[in-house]
Amino acid sequence: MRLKPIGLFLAVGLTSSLVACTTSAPDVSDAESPAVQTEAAGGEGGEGGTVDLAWSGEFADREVIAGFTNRVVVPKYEQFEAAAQELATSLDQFANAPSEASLTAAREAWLEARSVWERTESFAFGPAGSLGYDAALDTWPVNETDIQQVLASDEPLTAEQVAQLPDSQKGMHTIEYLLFGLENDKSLDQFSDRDRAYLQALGQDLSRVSSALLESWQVGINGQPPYREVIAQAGENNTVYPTLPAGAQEMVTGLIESLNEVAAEKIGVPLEEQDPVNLESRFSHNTLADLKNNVIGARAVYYGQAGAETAAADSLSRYVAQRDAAADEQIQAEFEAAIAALEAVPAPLEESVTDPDAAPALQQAQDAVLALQETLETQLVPLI
Amino acid sequence: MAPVLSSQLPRWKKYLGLLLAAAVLGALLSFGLNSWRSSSPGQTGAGGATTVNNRSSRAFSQPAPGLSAAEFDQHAEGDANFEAVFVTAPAQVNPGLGPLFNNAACVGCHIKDGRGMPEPGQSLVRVSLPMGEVNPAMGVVPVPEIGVQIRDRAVYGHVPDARMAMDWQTQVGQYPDGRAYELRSPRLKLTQADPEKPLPDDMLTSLRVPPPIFGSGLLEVVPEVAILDQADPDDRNQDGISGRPNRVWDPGAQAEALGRFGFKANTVSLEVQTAVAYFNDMGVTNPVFTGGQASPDVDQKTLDTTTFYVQTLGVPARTLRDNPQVQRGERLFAQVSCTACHVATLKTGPADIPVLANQTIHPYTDLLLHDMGGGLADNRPDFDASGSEWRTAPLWGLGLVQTVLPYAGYLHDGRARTIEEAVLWHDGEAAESKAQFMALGERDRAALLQFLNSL
Ligand code: HEC
Ligand code: HEC
Repeated sequence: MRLKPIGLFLAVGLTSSLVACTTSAPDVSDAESPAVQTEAAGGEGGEGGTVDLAWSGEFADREVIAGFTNRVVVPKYEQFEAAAQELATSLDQFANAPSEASLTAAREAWLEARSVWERTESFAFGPAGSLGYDAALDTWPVNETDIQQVLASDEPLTAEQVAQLPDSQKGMHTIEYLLFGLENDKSLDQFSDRDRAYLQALGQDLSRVSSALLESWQVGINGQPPYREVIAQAGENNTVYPTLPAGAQEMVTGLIESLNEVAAEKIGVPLEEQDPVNLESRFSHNTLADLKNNVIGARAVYYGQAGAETAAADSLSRYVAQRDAAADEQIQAEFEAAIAALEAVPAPLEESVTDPDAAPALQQAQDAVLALQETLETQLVPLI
Repeated sequence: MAPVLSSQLPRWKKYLGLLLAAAVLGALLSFGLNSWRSSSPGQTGAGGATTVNNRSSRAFSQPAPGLSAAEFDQHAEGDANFEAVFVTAPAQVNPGLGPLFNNAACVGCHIKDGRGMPEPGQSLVRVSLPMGEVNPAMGVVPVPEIGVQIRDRAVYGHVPDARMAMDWQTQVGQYPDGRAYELRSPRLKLTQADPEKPLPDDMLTSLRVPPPIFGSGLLEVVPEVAILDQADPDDRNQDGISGRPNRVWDPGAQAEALGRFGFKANTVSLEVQTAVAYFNDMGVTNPVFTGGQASPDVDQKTLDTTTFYVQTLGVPARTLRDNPQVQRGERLFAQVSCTACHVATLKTGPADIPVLANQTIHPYTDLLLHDMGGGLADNRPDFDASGSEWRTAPLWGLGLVQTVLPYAGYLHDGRARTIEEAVLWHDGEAAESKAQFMALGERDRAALLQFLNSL
């Protein structure tokens, strides 16, 4: 999804540039009507509309893509597998020996797994969609009515059984729903035996899917090549990414769209509707952390390494710096500003989203993420 | 109520600075623009003004350039509808799923606005009977108690129409130059799930994979005469290729009309396609198909914005247009008469959405039905389409199919694992064209496939 400010920016910028070079531009036979001209002619309502981004197609640094897969994507999925395994173990313990301590441990394990997962959002491409992993792990909203029916029934709640359930009755948010209650307020005595059995099975299923996801990137599934190679070998006799710029475009599009999702959808919709019901981790009151993790995950893509606050040698950041040091500095600063702005929002967002006193901070966070997105669209995109 | 947010402030105030900066950038850009233009695949115009320069996994999900701010708002709202996962009522968010359905979200089947996999839960099976009274609105003889589609999922406490499974059978073949190949095709297994819903022995079935949805807004406004002009139902020009329009039911006008969408062009418009999808694929009632409910699960506005979203997605620009192999492949594509059906260029007519109007586009389809032979036949007629006719598949974005959805298949049931396999399944009216393709040398075949992958 493309946002309005940037639409306006490019519309004016590119239109004036087109006008400026009508005499010298070569006549590209197939170039019927570049979007930018339509925008210029749009008149009324053209303001803030959509335009195509100015990708240059000049990206030529294979190591940046290799660094991305080897130091960000694969390590993150490894980390997610470990966190999901840890969650399964703690749900086992909670199911077998329910106590305040084991409940707290299970909740902490969920929060940790969630945190890792949210840091993978800016590279949500590849086999996760095709093989159903994404839906099995992270479907939202959950089907509360049917979950209650399953709980009320006497159907077996094994991992195998749970794997067959529809996606809105399993995965991270179903675990969240059962583990935290509707408002992060479920007390130990409110857990039925079947609640715990369901949780235990869900943990095992989550762990299985997280391993399969990692396998699809690292080794390949169903005789397919590992997906890490598919993108790392962009431009080399590759039908999926036939050019090197296409591989980099995958990275950058993922960055832009995940930031846009944070600003426009995850903050924008609940803010506009003044309703916390649309906040994605509302059961655990963890949405604000999700958002922050999305931006931190995006920064890891830009820095070419997970878990570090500086750029790796083969990274988008260095690639930009070599061509336009000021742009790189600006992007880095805006990443920090966006994270800081999110940190300044009073938690939990489930309460602050409707609190007039918190509105300026939330608005500032939305603006900061949007500013970063715009900078990527205007400064990074033309280098790719 | 909420305090005033800057998104509610007049836009010009917020963006004035940006505007000035943009003008400066524009002036600067104009210097470098010559090289930028010639190297940019964004200027290849597959979708006319709606073309987007993106070859990533999100290539099918980009809004068309040139939407106004108000149109973009509608598009964004429709985007959220398209992604909305429905759940069993009552619920605070997205109630109304089922009771029977195939998938809980548009995006659950059209993954990232592209295809779905040839698997239960994403692909669906259309059904009918070979004999009996044709329902004029459905274009076929519906199966008693079931209708025209197997919904193989149900919300808790309900039983699906049937259970669906599939496996694959393979067959081998050989090019004239001796190179061998293997093709696979699905075998569908439906089993009764509901004692009230026996599956008739003579039931006709048609397995269909979800197709990509971008660009369909343009195809909707190609003038009917332009489509009918290309039709040659009796093959007067004796090229072995007929090309027939489908005549289908328009529930809005309550009349017969030209069909454009679906693998047999059995649907009149994107609004109807969307309304049918909500109702049949998801069990979500709506103003067009109310299911007898006084207040349907989604309202007219939702239906409109979802439809608008589908109509206003951009079409990805081609890649590698300067590559000599690709250019050679493009010539060969015409030389072996693929273009007899996969017509490269169409023009749109007037349209309510300005950016769709009067565009020259390159969808590589004539939107007509062709007999594709026994291998591809589903043997299930659909309105005027016979059991072996299919609508020429648009080929724009073809090279991105597996970028958007790794391991996705081609053709109506996703049987082809590669573009090459899709070509090798051509038969019937396309037999001669395929034979010519097969007779090309290895390098020429590779060039032709490289061209297809550049789309
Ligand atoms: C269960 C999977 C499934 C779901 C859910 C689904 N679709 Fe589809 N869609 C399909 C299949 C399969 C076809 C092809 C139908 C045919 O050929 O008869 C299709 C066809 C289409 C087409 C026509 C494309 C063309 O070029 O002909 C559009 C547009 C479309 N769907 C939009 C939607 C929208 C909007 C929604 C949600 C309201 C939706 N679909 C939900 C499977 C699905
Ligand atoms: C007689 C008309 C006709 C001719 C000639 C023809 N095609 Fe097709 N093509 C079709 C139809 C109809 C389909 C859809 C068939 C289906 O889905 O089962 C199709 C599908 C395809 C597909 C799969 C598209 C997808 O989205 O899955 C490819 C690729 C393709 N054609 C390439 C070619 C090539 C290459 C040639 C020339 C060698 C060719 N076609 C000649 C009618 C034709």
